[in-house]
Amino acid sequence: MPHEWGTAASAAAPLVALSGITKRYGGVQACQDIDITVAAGEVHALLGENGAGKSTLMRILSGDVTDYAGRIEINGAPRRFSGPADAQAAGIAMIPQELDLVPALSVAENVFLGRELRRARCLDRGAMAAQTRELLTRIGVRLEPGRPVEQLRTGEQQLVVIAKALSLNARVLIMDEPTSALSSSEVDLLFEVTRELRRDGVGVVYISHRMDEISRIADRATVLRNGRVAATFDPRTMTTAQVVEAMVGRPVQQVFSAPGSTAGEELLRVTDLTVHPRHDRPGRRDPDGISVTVRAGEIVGLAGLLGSGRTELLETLYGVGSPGTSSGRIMLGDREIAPRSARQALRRGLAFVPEDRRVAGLVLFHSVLANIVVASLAAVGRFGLVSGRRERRAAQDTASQLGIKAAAITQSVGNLSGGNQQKVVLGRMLRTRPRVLLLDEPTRGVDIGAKAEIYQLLGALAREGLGVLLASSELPELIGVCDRVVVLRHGRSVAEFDTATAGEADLLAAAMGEQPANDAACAPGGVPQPAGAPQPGGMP
Amino acid sequence: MRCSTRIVAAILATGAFAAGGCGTTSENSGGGGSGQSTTSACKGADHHYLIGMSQANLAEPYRVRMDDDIRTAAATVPQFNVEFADAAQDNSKQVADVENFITKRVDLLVISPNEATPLTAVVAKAYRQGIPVVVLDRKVDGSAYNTFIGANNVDIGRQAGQYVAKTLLPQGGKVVELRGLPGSTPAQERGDGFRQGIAGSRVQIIDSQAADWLRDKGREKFDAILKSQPAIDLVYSQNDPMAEGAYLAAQEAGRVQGMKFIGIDGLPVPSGGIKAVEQGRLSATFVYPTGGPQAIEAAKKLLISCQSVPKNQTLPTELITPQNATEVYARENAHR
Amino acid sequence: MTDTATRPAEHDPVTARPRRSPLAQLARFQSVLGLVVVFAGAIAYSPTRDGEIIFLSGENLTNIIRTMSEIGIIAVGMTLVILVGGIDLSVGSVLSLGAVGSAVLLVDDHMSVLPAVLLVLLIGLVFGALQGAASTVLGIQAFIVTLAGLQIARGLARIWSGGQAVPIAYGTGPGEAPVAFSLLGERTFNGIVPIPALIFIVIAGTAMLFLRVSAFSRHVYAIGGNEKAARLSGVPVTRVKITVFAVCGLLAALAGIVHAGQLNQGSPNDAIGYELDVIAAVVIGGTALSGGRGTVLGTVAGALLLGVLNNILALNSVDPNVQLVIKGLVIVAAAAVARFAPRT
Repeated sequence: MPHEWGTAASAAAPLVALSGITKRYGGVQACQDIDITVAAGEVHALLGENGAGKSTLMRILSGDVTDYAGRIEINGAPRRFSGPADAQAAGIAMIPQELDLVPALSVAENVFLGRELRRARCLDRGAMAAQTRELLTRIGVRLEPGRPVEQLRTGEQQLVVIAKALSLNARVLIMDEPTSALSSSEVDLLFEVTRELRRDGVGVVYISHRMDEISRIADRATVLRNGRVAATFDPRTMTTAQVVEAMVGRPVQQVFSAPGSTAGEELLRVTDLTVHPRHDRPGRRDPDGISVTVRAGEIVGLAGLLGSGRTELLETLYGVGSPGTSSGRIMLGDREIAPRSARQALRRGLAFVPEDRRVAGLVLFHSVLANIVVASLAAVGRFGLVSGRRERRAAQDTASQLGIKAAAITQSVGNLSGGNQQKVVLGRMLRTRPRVLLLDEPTRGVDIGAKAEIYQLLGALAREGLGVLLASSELPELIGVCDRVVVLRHGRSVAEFDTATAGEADLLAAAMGEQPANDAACAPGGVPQPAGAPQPGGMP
Repeated sequence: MRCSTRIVAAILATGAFAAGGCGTTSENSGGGGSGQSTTSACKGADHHYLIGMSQANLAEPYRVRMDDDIRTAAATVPQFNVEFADAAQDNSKQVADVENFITKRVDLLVISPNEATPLTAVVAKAYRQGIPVVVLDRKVDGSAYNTFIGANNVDIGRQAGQYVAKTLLPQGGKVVELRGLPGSTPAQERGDGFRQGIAGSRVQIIDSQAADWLRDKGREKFDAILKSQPAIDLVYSQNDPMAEGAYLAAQEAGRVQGMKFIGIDGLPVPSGGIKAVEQGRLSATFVYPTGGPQAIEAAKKLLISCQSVPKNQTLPTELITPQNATEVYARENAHR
Repeated sequence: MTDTATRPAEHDPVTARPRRSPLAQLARFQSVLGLVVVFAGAIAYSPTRDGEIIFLSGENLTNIIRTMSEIGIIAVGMTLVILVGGIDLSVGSVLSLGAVGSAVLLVDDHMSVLPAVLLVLLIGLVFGALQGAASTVLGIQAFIVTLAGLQIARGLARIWSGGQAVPIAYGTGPGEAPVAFSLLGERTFNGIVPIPALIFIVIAGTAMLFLRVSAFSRHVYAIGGNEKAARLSGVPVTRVKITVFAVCGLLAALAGIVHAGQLNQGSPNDAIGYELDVIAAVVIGGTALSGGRGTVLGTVAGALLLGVLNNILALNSVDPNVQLVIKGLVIVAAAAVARFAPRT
């Protein structure tokens, strides 16, 4: 593939050099005097809390923001991009988090969208397919160019976007949290592709919150804080504590708060729950024999691979699962419940924080206030009327209690950082005074500082007697936060571990269906094993 | 929605033909001597006059022609300046249009009402405030206006019937009738008149179907009739567009030879019935006059020469045949 | 991280103040602003008679508000429907059904005014509720349901009236409506404000107050903003939506009663295409068709803006066909302002 500059670019001039980049938005200093380079064949990780300036910096590099101070050099030559197309022509490509693919079109059609190959004024599908296949082979991916993109998994779609960028002769790829929606095997594939690109001399800017990924893939890691470069690390030697300290600007004792609360009475007992959905929906794994118990003051984790049915279990408990019949029992306290709607579940004392706060949690253009009080309006008024004063006070209480950082509670919630948005959803649910809190991936897309705050909050809530059922795909989170972890596989609860004794490997093994090490699996102490429940670690 | 609006458009189209009026000839039959017919609005020839013309809608060619006729006629009177409003088939909008004319203190109001009852009050209001009112084509209720100018549908239907019985089918024959929208007054009247006209002859109506005044409906309905009726001598269509539709259907079925088509309306526009007669598709059509020139004539009397006008003016129809079609078309468009 | 990448400005969550530029403040009330602009333009371009500005004459202003009060009454209901992310295309037909119902009940069935009015309102309410139920319970898009409703209500109106307008004459004799109903016609309150306008003002005022203080309205906004999130927050989505459609149907029927009083007849063929005027008023008022964002105040301003625009174009006897073009352009301009308004 012909490029402007070959991989043999001199080692002296890096592929990309940004120097003295400064950008203000009104009163906000987004970037201040940032120097950063990316060498050919280097994966440079960029870390920082929300608002640290990562996004602005990358938007400057990709030509999206043009009114900045400072200097961009590409292969030693100063450039000032007039817009994204200009940057693209210079070989800089952004892989956005929300992939801009047309679902109904094929892989090849997406790759060549807008610059279709033609022969005699007709689309030359053959050539497009062949070139697409060549591109995909180059990054070591096997995908049929004729398949519609909507049939691909998220990870595969991401690879299509990368292939498209390469077809545009991209020499620098900016990946913005590329793994946030990927399963672990998809992450592996992405990393293989990334290594392939590195060998080809492509420079990669890799934005992520995930420490483990950065140490696996990156050659260099730069931490931004408040628009400045706070530190640069060698990923092979850096520690989480160092990075977190650089990000938040002060030492952080611990990310995970010690579970240390004592379990009280039994709040939620799910026995052999099975849902027979009325319609089979592809990609859904409804509960097929799940038993879980949550006691007061306890944080119980739900582990399992993608598609193991974690989300579906929480949704079923909350009354918003697949429509159909179910068997098994759900006891809340000493009362059997069968919630048919979120409203019912809330009234019984169950609250749910969904996985994707932007899709299912928030009205992004409404205020923090409106988003917090919407589930508990009866508590701030009477006779169907709402007292403006009381609802404001309620929202303010929640905001300060949860440490929601917003300029004002009338600010629209879409302008908040991911962590603060998550706290708004959490706060809304806590205002309903639940007995059991169901959480689905509560820290996804949340920066590490806010993560620690959320964990501390959960710990505090548990100590006050709340029961928490927490589904997560991050094993360190489950081990670090939960008292016990139940592992799901194919919609079934297959094992249960005490986090005091079990480790990530045990969870993973159980989730993948391996025989767990005997001593790690435990019959949870003090928790009576319900009759008919699957034995811990039992193989189907 | 499209279906619904089409039906509604058809219903409203009936407004074009729903003329009241009485008498069977072109004689003025109303009591013209009412004291209201000359008004204080008359300021002689030295004054300039603003005339407001409130049209029910501009979706029908007939009504566009009516506005054009008024515009052309008024252009010959230097004292007149006419402003037009289009109610777009909406009674409320027409009420507002008339209100606006009252607010502007027009010197005379010409109105072709969308419907009678809803506009009666506002027309009466104008009349009571001393604005002379000329009502065209369709009456309002009561008598709070200066003059009504319109044609007589029963009479036109009768003349059509007589022409068929005496001239087109003197030996008698089989006639198919295509009717306007069911329940509309003009459809009823044009049908009744036709039956009076053929009474006593050997002309026989073998089928009668409603095609809602529409060309495409006419074609569709006549398609079906052609299948069930092996022998048809003449199609009597209550308006020209339906007749044209029937002609197309017959042509498609290869049965146009020996079949005669007559319509009503005779608009002197390129797509109108006079041209269709001239070009041989229709054997005859009967002009349904717009009354535009007569309205300006009445305005001249009321405003400039301070004469009285008759309360009712029934306009004569005119038979259009291949013999006179070219001439009438030219005459009607002479001033343009 | 997700969110900042797609927005123009990145806020430091600790120090950021919400951006409230003067422009943003203006944009919040863009429809009111638009009304002021159009009103000022109308004064400037009004024809005059003996030095008097015709547009500003009491008579003319009364005409404007009376003419748009039917549209305005329905637009209040439509605002609610659009706020929950729905649309109601049936309002014109329901208005016609309400007008026919009033005329038939008063004239043919010799009902007295109050029961007749209540019955017509009930019909509108039930019709709207059924549409809401069909949309939510059966999961059919509101556009489709109310498109069907448009046909059905029109058909019902034609059946009920026998296809002909039912004239209303007042008096005590047989076939005459009670004189009390004629209040809706020419009469005015105080000698200034026409009764239909008074009804519109009361409805709009009630709705504004209601949207401010009720828990129900919070649910309405939440559903329109993010239905899934609202459902998961325990908002009774189905019930709220049905209620909103029912209210819209009721207000359309109310407008139908006013219509009958104004025109002294109940015609099954009236109010064709009113739904588009109503939606235009709501959209000009700054309510987002996607739901969750908008105000009744904006809608009132939007309806008045259309009324003033219609009036001034007619007073200047702009060619009717040019009027259509101008009105279309104003709608596009209003939507464009809403599109580029900063969202605070």
